[in-house]
Amino acid sequence: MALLLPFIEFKPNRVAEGDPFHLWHLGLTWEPWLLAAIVTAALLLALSGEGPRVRAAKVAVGSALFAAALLVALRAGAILVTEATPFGRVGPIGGFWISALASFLIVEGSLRTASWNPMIKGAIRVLPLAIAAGALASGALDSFAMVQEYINRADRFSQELTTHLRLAAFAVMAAVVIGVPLGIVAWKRRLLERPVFTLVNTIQTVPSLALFGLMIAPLALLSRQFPLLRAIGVQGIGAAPALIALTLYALLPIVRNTYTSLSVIPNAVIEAGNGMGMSRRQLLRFVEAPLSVPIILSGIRTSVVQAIGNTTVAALIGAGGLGVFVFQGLGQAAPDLIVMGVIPIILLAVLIDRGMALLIGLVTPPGLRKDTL
Amino acid sequence: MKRLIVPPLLFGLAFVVLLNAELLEPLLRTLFPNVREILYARIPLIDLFREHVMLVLVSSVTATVTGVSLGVIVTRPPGRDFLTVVQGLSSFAQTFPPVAVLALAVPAVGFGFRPTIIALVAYSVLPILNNTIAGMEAIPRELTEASRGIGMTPLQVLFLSELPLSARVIAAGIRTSVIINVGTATIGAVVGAGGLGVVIVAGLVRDNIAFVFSGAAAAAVLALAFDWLFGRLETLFFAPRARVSR
Amino acid sequence: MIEFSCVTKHYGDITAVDSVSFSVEDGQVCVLIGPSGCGKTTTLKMVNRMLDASSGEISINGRNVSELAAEQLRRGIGYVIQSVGLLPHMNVRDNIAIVQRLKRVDRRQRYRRADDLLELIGLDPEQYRLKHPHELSGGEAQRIGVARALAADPPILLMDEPFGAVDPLNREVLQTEFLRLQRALKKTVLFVTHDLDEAIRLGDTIILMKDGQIVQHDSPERILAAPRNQFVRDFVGADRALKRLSCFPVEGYIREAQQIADQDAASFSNGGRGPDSVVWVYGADRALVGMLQRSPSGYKVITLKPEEVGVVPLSSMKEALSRLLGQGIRAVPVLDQRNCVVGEIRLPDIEELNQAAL
Repeated sequence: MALLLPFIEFKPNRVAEGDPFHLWHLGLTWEPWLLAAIVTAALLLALSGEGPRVRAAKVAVGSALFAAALLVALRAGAILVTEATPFGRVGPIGGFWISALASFLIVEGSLRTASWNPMIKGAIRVLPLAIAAGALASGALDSFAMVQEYINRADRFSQELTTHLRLAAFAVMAAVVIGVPLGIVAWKRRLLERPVFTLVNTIQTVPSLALFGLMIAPLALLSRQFPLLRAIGVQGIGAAPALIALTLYALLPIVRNTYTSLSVIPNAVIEAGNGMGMSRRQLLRFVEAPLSVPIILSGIRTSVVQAIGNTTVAALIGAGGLGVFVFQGLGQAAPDLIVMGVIPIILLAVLIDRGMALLIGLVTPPGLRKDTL
Repeated sequence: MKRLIVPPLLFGLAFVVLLNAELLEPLLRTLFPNVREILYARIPLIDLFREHVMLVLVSSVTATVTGVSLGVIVTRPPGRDFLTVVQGLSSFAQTFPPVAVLALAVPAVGFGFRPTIIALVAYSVLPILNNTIAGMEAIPRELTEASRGIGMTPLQVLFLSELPLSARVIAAGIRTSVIINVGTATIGAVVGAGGLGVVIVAGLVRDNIAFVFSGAAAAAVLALAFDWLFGRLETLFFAPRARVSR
Repeated sequence: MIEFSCVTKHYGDITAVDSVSFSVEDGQVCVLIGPSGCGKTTTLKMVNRMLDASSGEISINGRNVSELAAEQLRRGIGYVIQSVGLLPHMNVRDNIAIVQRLKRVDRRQRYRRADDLLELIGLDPEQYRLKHPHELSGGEAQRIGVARALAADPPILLMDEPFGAVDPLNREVLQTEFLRLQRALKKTVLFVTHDLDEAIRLGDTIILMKDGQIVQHDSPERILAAPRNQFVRDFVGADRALKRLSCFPVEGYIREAQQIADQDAASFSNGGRGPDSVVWVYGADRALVGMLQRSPSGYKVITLKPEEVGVVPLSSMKEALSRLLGQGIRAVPVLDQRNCVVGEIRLPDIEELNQAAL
């Protein structure tokens, strides 16, 4: 399929309709054959059963598939965008994306069952990203439409990326500061358990855009009533309502996991700790913290990943962030710009998720470790 | 009994008010005295509301059918080879923000109702699929073996034993999906899918707080109503029985 | 010495422990027993102030516990509970060493102590020190729990139904271990159980409680032989003669045993012994492998599993009797740690012991 679908499209300029090219009509010499060879190898491997050797071969072929697809796209870009078409740009379409997806499936499918060192697994997973980043940095991808969109806005991009990360990070930090005590209180005071959970559950149920919208009105009123607030930047539109809404949104996983982390500590362990003469602080340090921190962290993991997504929406109320490009792209009907905004968002979410998984693995004491990765 | 009557009354009242916006006008006037155009007049709220509900229903039903069937297939012997890959892929894809999926659907299929439905289905399949697999895998082997032992065919085992036993978990996945869909459908306004998000976005574009507020309130009430409904259905179907006793 | 004087504990309107007075001498094991809800666990928990007495005074070596800081007090008292409560995130060595860590003993010393304790409780340090609690069996976990309690070498041990969650076979083994340890370490032990056999076997004295009050505080033999009232008589049950056998370790009744190597078994001829005598057969490492049985064609060897037939010197006479009956043999072998026969217990001796009391 990867070989039959149109592989890449060419546009003479930004808004023109794309012109799809098949792999074989690109005027390339050996590159399509390389890709075809790799695909054949992958098919053969898929039929050749199990075993550590086959698995290693699958990982190698899968990674090679992505590299080859990228190479073909690069070469095609160089051929299609010539001096005659200075505004021309290429974009990967069906064939390329299917190759990339197949590569991911092959590699991930064999890594999942492999009992290799987590560091090696991580390295293999990061490899395609590194290749793509290398190609990007070398300028080889400059004829790609998304990259052109990026080049046109490089300054703005890094600025919005920082805003995005800052918004999400502050929101989650605030949510930790509020959520962990809230979870503890819900655990300690049975009476507060229901109201606390009803509240945070309800907040998560409200659509993100609606929550942002609901934040705007009261904040706008407040800032009109109190000029002081406006002076420090609290307005109906912008970062203030976004931060509040994002924080509220991030609460549920943190509160829930804090509560769970306390409820799963066996009573016997607490009694044993008390019985051997632990002070309140020692009980926290030797018993409660090591047992609950991994669970709380996995709540934070969920929260951060969600916050990255919700921060995108926050661009609609003028808070900035990578969502700016997405919504600009949607507004201008410029698909390349949309993709340019979306891909970093997805990468951020995935990388943060993996990173948190690693961190959780590190802080989980060996006696509790199952398999968080 | 109180919990059965009061919430629907509240939700009903909220909808009546929100959808017949004239009723809301005095309140909005006092809240936002500076806004000239208080009511969104272009499209009646009730139409947007209907669009929103349609988006959610169509995508949720499709996602449920797809997710449950896929989950069943990969937990049958012939499909088992794909179990780990499907599980891995779907939990990986769940880290994608729903907005991102929605935005990507536009370059793929264009603007309008269709890409929104595709994006909603693509994303909301995941929790249902995950929960179906989890529910199936959590059934103690003795139970399915006992069902086979009393002479059930594989299909009977599936429909009389496995699905009822994992129904609670699957239902939780569907609930999650529906709530995500209500939320993502709100953003669907940006890609031209209609729905209550239209009012919010119009308000944001025209700097009209009254629009934003009424749209947001309507969307929030809709989401809470769906959530309440699912909560009721869950307690109705699962609370008194269906606990797996060992 | 632990002393209770007029100790009372109320929970709201309920009086869990009602003006209880007793003392436990140094190096003695005192077992608290009674039906559930009788206040035995509450009594125990007041010693290390897991619970505070409502009135009355508890003192250890003359010092009132309520005047000591609870944490300091507890670090000087070993505490073993039924559900063990090992810290799941720490390995066995760190679990044993935790109390010393609280006392800021340095790591090398702690770990050496942990290894010593593993040896002491009969677990190989090499094999066990790095295991995590979820890799242990119930019996192993409970031994580690005891080792943890002993780590700081406290003079006093509080044990709250420590062997209650272990299966009966392992419970016997753990009880034997406990007797062996106690003989070596001479701790002052307060021990809660609901198992009368356990109380009789382990206790130097037994306190039988009911509704928060002490009904009888006596030696195990006295409790069995002279129940103070109908409640004690009912509690002890009709089979108290049998239960009494739990009081006596077999070590006082060991008779010399006749044994031969397995390669000589074929040529063995009866040396004119009476019908009670059994001839044990040992293998290459002198460990028990079987016994000789007379058959029409001479003698043949019946294979035996040492752990099924044998007792150890600290086993009770009751256990010896149950092995006798269970295996249908006339004597049980007494084995050392390497399963070598050091002697045997014979049925007539058990009968005699039983008659002496009644």
